[in-house]
Amino acid sequence: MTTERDADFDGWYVQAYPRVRAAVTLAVGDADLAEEATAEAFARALVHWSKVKDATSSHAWVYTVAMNQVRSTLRRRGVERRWLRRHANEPVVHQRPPVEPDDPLWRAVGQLPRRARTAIALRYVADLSEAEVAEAMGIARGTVAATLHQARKRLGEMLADNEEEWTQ
Amino acid sequence: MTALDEERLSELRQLVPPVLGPPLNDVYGRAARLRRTRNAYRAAGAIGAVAAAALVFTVGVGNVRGHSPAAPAAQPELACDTAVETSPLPVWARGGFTPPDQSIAHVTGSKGDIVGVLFGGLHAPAGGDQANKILWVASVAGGAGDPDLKIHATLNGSDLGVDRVVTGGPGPSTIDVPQAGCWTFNLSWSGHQEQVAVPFS
Repeated sequence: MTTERDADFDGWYVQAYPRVRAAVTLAVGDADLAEEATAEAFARALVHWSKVKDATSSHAWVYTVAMNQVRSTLRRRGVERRWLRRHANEPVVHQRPPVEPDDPLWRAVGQLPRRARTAIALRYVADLSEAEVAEAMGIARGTVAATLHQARKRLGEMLADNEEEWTQ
Repeated sequence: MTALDEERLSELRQLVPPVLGPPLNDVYGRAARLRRTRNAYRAAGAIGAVAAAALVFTVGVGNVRGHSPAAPAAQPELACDTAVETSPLPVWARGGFTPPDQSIAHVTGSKGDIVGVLFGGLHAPAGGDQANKILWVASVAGGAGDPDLKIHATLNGSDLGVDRVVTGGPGPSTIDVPQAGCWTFNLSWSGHQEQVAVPFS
């Protein structure tokens, strides 16, 4: 079976994938989960390409789908884990250490609350505008601005503390 | 305390390894599978709507519902002789197991997209303290359509059939059947379809 290629999609995919994947990784903190969810999201974007390419932000669309996929997977894992704890004698552990850049800024972002982390990932890694971040997160633009402001403030504190630790 | 400036935050982008996505052929292949499952689900929509409207009753742990047999589709029967395998699960099914590569009794779907992990033997009719626990783990998450895992089970060599629903899709379940023997389970969830043989003693 031959599949007709869409040059528009191909170009968008090559350009958009790394940024979306990185943003999902930073927001989720699990590189494997992010990789799978992002791949699924881009396949779905191709299925719905006629709609996605005309979306206000195709990046926001694919990010939203990826995060829905993450939630679905985590929900399934959570149900399985709880059930296994009840019915199996073995202790249950499932988490591989996330593969993340070894950088204080990246680590600091990873310690932010989920909403702040996600907003930072979308704004500064996926490079979405505040309006696009609002669309992807399903929150008001003003809330995005406030969340980013608080997050930047907190990051400033965290990195200052980090530098003090190293200089003392 | 001064908020971190935007220029510093833009460094996050530089920290991201320059990862390439899956090859475009893979993306197109995955999209084609999504379209097929979506179309299959739509085609089965009428049957699914009838099945969903059927009277259901709660059995087992409460997340599994069963109802009177619907008109069974003509499906081949699978043999139970080698259906249960005690070995490490496929890598994608090991989440939650410690150690992940431990040998554990399980049955595998005919397409290899789902496994049913067995905790103890399966008995029919169910009784006493022994519940027929099966943990369904699918390699394909999400997809088009109803996420619930629907099971149409038929006893090989007979007209006996039962239907069960695992709410929310593949996951923990207690599946009881009325009679011992080799059962062929026809599974469907989120547009995916699989078959698996399950022996009940």
